[in-house]
Amino acid sequence: MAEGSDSFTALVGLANLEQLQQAFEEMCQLPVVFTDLDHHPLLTDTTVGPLRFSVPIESNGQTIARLAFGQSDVAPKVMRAVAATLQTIANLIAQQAAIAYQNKILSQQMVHLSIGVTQAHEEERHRIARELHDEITQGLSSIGLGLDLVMMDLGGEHAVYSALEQLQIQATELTRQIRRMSQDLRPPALDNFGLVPSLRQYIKRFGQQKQAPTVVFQVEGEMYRQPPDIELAIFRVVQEAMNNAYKHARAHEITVTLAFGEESLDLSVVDNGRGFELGEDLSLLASEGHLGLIGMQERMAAVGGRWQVESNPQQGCQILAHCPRVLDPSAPS
Amino acid sequence: MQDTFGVAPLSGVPMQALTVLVVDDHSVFRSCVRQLLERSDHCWRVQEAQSAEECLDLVHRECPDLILMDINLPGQDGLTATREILKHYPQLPILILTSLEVEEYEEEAKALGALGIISKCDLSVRKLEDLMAGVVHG
Repeated sequence: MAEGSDSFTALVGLANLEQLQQAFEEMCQLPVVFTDLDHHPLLTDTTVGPLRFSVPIESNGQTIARLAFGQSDVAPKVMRAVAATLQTIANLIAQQAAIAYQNKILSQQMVHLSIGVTQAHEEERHRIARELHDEITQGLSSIGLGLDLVMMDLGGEHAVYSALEQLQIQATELTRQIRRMSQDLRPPALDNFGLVPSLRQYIKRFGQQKQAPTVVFQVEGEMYRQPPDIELAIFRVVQEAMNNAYKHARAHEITVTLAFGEESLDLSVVDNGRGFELGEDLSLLASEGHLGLIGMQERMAAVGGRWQVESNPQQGCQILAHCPRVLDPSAPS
Repeated sequence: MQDTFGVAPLSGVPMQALTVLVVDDHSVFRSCVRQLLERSDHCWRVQEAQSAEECLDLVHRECPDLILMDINLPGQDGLTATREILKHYPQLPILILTSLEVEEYEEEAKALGALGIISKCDLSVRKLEDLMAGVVHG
């Protein structure tokens, strides 16, 4: 089978092809099958019998499959009379099939683009965090120490001593603030020590916010490291889920459970907040304004994991994330 | 914030002989620490390294009496370098200096056998002098 036809079958899906074939057969009163470029049916158990004619299904100027029409019991005289109409209908059907295929491609490209944007975003955050730490906080620490040296030389009686002392206090406070900003952008402990210490630290700082919910953090199984992109994805899911519970759901209690299994790493974030109505189709979450939920789903998908949400109005929310364990964490996931 | 973990300090070592190795990739910070130590009463001989690799090389060649080690370094980080140095020189006092959150690294630094961990944010001439004097006199 040609490569284009493989891609067409994979994207449209076998079940959809079968349904489309049946619909077209009813419409045209002729046997209809999707075939590859050599007229081999894409659905293996179908046949069109002796071929009457076929029309190409094209995408970006290239034929990716064909729609083949077989013979019918209708008298040849009648068939000749409707041949032109039939051809027009066949072309329209082929165009619709091509549009469906292109839509699938676009939707796939959108997912890849969105993952790419998230990755680029993370890289940028990492870069800014590193620069804030490596350049700004280090520079401020040096200024603080330099001021100390000058103050030591001048002595406490000197007229500018107290002004320098104030400057030093400001430099120290500024260093702390920038360190916090850098932490929020990308916790350095995540790269150095992994998920559990980073989450402990994050939960501790989260609890320092005004009217923050009580957070219970549970670790099950023996902790192990995973590739950086998996650890980061899980960390961001916890961050997003906890922020949602605090800011939108007004939860009083959040339980974060991280289970280090032999086969997989599983996360659960449960809150007792307001909850929300969850439609049947999760792909509609974005249009309903739940962009954070979509972000979590995409992050997990990007690292080969799964993500799930359960919620009902006034019944809190449960976020689950699952990632198959990577035995060699230094290998890319 | 600072913490020392009760690792045996240097004692009975003649002051003049003491060499401190400052490992930090930030040249201005290294220079400030150098000025401070050279002006202190203990007359430290200061050597500088800007990476863990340079530090390991100097440790093997110069046998410093004390190391002030940053955590974030280009290439190998300061904690890994500390582990490696203490494997070969278990008695060598290493003070970790960092602008990261001290609390996050305290446990790891202690487990490695470092003498202590100090935040660069809270570092002052007096604090550093006291710590160094503590290392010398126990």
